[in-house]
Amino acid sequence: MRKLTREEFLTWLAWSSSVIPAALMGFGSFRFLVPNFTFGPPTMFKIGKPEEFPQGRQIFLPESRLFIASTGAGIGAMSAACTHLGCTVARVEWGFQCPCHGSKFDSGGRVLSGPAPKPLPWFQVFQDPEGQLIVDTWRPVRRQTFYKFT
Amino acid sequence: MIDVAAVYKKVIRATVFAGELPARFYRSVFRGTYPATVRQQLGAVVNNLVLHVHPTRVYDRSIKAQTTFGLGLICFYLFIIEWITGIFLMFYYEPSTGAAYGRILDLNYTITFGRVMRNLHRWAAEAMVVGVALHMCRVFYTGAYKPPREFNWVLGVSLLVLTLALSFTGYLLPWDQLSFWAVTVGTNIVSYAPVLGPWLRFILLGGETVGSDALLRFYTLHVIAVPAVTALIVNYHIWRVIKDGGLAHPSENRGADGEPLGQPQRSDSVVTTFPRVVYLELLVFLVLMVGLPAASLLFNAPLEEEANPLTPSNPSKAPWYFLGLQELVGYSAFWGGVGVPTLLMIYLVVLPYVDRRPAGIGIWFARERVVMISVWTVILLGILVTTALGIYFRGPNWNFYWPWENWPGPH
Repeated sequence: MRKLTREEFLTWLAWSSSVIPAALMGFGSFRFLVPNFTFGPPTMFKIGKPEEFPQGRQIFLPESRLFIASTGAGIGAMSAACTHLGCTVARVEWGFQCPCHGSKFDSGGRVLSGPAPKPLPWFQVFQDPEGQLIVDTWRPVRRQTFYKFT
Repeated sequence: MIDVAAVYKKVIRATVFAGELPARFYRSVFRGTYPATVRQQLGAVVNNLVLHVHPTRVYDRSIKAQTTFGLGLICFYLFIIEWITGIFLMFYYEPSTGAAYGRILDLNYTITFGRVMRNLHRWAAEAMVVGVALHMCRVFYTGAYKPPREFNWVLGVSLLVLTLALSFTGYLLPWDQLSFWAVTVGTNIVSYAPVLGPWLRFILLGGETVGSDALLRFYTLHVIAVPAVTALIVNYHIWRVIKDGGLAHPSENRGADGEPLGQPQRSDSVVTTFPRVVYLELLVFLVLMVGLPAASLLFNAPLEEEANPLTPSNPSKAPWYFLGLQELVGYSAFWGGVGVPTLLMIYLVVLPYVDRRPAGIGIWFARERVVMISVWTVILLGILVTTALGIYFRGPNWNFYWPWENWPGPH
């Protein structure tokens, strides 16, 4: 094996001591910008007690952008955010329509027409010990899932 | 039918094109080959946006470590590092009294590499204060402020003030007890200026006390107003170095008859800036790039509990570089707050216009300058002693304590 000259050794040393810290710092700087927490809006919403949702009614909650439907099968929560670009859909006679690009959904959230790629998601509803109903928008469930509460 | 030969030719041509692309790109950035001849090396400096602030050739003597210790260059690098780390910190920091301290805690405990980023910003800032002071002493002790460099010295004095302003305005931003009371004390020193003092403090704080407006003002000054002015003057300062004839050199000295002293010496030989000086500068950068992160991994920037305007910390100390003044304020509010700093600034600005004799230029501690060097050294020692007193020998109620003595109370 050929011996390394002093100049070659120092050149290698200089390059590696520039490139390695630069790479580490590049990685560190990038990782620094990836947030480990966010101050985004909550993903769980307290919506009220079961008796506030009389059977046969569908109530729109504008702050959490949810439709809460109460049927004989129980209470279900469906998103009001259009799956196209996130506008809030409006209730019409035959279901829901998005004001932004005209997507149409049936009363269960299935896409009837328009650019929306996916049906409106439904979310899990559960009850806390105080009897408050909570919708968890991080837990999507099958369409037309209703929960019975007392 | 497919013309196989034509397709083959096209593939070969595309391959050759792709192969040549990197070299083509390189040549579009750096025209010509690696500069090997002196003529090409001179051109490499003149025709390069970054390098052209250099002279094309420098005295061999000028790039010896002991001539300048690279202090100006180090300050420049530190300033760039402050910009970069400062921008990163701005991604998380929020200048409001309710949120600021929590954001610093987030940096320290939640954000990956947040603590290192804050430490880097802090230690580079402290290094810059020290570096600028040392650079100034180097320029003084080598007589490098004498004509024709008087105005560049004045620019340097303004950069010293701006460096202190940058550091001081950044001091408040963590919104902890340390920063809150340091700035309370620091701005109270300002208010001892006659006539304008209290008004200046009011403008600086946006009110009578250090509160949410003071935080917002210090933030705006710290992240854009002062850095922008400093960047402009740094550029001017560096540009003036060539315009004033490069680094100070002994050949500029004149005898009593106005004639050059002796024959040009062997050390008066010159080297081309590219590649020697460029590589030396990169080497200094390399040392900083390894040293600063290492220091930031080992040592944490100070952080106390959240600012509480109702409970002063005792003692309440200004940032360390103002503790000499705070020590003087302890004896006389006027002299510490106004008299001494004003006299110091007048001395610094007037110095190169008074001390003009072309003797001792480019020489450390030249014997011909014994009076000027003595005056400077006495002032410097005065600053160092009062600052050290303030840092190490002052405890609760600004009483004198030896550094190894315990302070009374719950400390």
